[in-house]
Amino acid sequence: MDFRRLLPLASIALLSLAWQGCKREGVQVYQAPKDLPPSNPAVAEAPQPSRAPASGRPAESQSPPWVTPDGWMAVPSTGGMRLASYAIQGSDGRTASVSVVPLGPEASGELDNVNRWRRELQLAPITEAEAVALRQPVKIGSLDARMFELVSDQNILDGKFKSRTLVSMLAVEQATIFFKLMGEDALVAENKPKFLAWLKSVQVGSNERSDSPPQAAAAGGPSMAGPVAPPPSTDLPKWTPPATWKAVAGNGMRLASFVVPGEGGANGDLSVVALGAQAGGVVANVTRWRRQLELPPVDENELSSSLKSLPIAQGEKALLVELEGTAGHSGSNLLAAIVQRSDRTWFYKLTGPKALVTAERDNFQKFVQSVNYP
Amino acid sequence: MSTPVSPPPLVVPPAAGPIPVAGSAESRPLWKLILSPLSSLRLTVILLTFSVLVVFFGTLAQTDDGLYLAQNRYFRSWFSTWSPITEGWRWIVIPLPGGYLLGTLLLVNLVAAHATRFKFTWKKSGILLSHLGVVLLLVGQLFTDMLARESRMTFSEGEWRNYSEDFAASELAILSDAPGDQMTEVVAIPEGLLRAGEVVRHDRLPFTVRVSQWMPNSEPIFRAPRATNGPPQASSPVSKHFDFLSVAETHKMDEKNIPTVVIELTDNGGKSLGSWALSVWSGEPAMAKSARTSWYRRFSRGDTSGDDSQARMMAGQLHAFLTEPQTVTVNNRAYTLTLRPHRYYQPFTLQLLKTTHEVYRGTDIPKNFQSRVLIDHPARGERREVNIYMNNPLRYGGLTYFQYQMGRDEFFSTPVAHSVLQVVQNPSWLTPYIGCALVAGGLLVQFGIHLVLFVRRRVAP
Repeated sequence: MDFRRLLPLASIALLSLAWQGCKREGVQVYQAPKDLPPSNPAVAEAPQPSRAPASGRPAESQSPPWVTPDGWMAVPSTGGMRLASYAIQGSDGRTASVSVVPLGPEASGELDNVNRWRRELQLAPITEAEAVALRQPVKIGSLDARMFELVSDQNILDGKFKSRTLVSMLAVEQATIFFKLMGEDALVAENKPKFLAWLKSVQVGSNERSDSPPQAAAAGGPSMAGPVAPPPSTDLPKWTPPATWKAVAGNGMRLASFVVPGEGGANGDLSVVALGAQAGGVVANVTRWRRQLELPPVDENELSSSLKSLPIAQGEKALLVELEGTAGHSGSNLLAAIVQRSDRTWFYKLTGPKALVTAERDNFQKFVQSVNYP
Repeated sequence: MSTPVSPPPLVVPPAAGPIPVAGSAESRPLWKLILSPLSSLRLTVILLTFSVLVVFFGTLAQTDDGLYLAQNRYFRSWFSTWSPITEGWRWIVIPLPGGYLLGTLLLVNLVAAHATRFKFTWKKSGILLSHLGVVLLLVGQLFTDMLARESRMTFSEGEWRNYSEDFAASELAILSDAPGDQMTEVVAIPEGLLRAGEVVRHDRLPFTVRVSQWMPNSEPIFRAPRATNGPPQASSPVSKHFDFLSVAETHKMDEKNIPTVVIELTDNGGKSLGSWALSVWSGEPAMAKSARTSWYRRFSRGDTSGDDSQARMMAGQLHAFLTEPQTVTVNNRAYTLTLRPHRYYQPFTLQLLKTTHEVYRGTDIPKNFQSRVLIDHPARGERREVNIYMNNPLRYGGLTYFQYQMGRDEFFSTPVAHSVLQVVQNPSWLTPYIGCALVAGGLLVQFGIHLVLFVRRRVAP
């Protein structure tokens, strides 16, 4: 066998292979069949997210109960609290955002809210009289409401821009809805007319009341009340309170109230409130209670680790929250149970001195377990 | 008595001139002179020793570099170096020959040995056959390395695919409607041309692509509607909602690099048409789905209500933002821009009918992964169902489909199962089998010949 003849051939083959492997790829042009759509029934029938989820609920086909201004871009919320969010893009990286957040009715305290928004803008707290002076009359739908406009003193946005907040509240029977525009000072000021027009476009049903006495409600159209909270049922659940508790008339949002007697005349207060199924979520409510006890906020992870589960009737579960107030808050403790059912969320809340709340813990749990929902 | 015979002179006086001596250098042709050192058995032993070392260090390096990087660094290279990964010992640098160099030298060594030293006799035919097998193994591996292509096909139950996707390489695909309504014209720019500062022009494109940034691995960061967001990366729709953050490349086997490119398009007059942030997060459906599942898990984690519809809704919206088509219209023709894994189209389609995922009872150890697939090849009028499962690949159309992975998309309340097939195209896939058969056959022949000769000698008086 003469390898002399084979060697050049082998060399050429190897070199061409090496060249093939090392050569730089170029741009390719070709025609290809169009991508085939998914034919999987599960995929095809899955809820397709809306491109313009203005209401934050793409599963609902109805349009949001307001007219979204031009230039506001609907975005999904990143937390569980927001009903809807919009982003506003300005030049030079300036941005602003709009949010619609429902909270429980107990969140409607004006001074607390104003001072919370002031803290966000690094402003000092003000007194009730000063807060009253800041009120601006606005219309939410056909209802008279108040708006607050706050501007930071410092350039707190990226160290370059001041921040401005416009916020108005609508108290419905089962919740308080906050409409808030915040962001770069000038951009928010530019968008103020749009914000006011947007508030005015909100279609309100008959269940809402503004901070002012109720006016004639607009009729027809999707109602804010629908998605937020269904009308409360008149059927009260059956329950068995401990013999020592004294039932008193419920007021406002309370379906029931009990006076829980303690030692030395220091009584505790137990309230039963039922809100819509979307009552702002567990995090929002616990955060609000913590704020009332002057406790720092916690994030979802910390919160979920501090929640306890209590089995109740019909195989359901209640979430137990126990908060110890600060010394500055007269040592008040809070023990609450949240029962999330398909139609409503039930809140049982006992507040009182630490010793009382601790002593009544078993009674409280038995009471919550005794509730037989209609 | 015999007359003493003087031995031939060992040293020839210069004056005597060259005397041809049998076997001396002068008597051999030039090609033999060159090949002689290359045919040395010592070289064979040295090369085999280095091969053992390269396999050893290459295997060690896999713990840090992962399989693919280690393969490229130690086996698909001409030279390489190895250093310990332990802090304080990294100054040690051991130079090593690469796999290409060793393979080439072993091949040359073997061929040169045959060319210079071996002579064909029937007694040595077994050795020749074995060596031919070794040559086939070496050359076959080189062919495999150069010509083989591995890709994957990912689809959910019920979905069709007429293409597979490269494991690592991505491409910027610029799609426009081709005449008729069934086809798309694709201008595919390979990722090798997508480095920052590169400018790509093509006859089929009415614009110039300027690459501003290339991120070999990236993460999508949602631009929450807060005032602290920086300016968007680009003017494209996805950039209103996402920033893509460059992150360290991964070499782990169970992780994947997800590249992103930021480009600017300019028309023929040099006027900017806008900028686009294009990511495989958006361009590869499986990655967008995995992001959606990850968001859904995150959003539903703190939810204790048991109602995860809001988490699904939010994750679904982010998915919609991420996969929003990125388009540009020039001269009344719309072009869709997407960064996606490099695609290999086939003239037939596969539909995933059903997945079966069985584990041994009480364990997570897989017992059976099986994909039932419908092959539809209109040109051949072929339409049939096959099962692909472990150790039972589908060989079809010059490709081999192996069952690779299986999973479920938890985003849907009724989780949707998906399957990943590894698609291998290897024209020289038979060479290792033939090579091994030749080596085994050669050894058998050689031992057989020796046995026969030995027995004959014993039998002979």
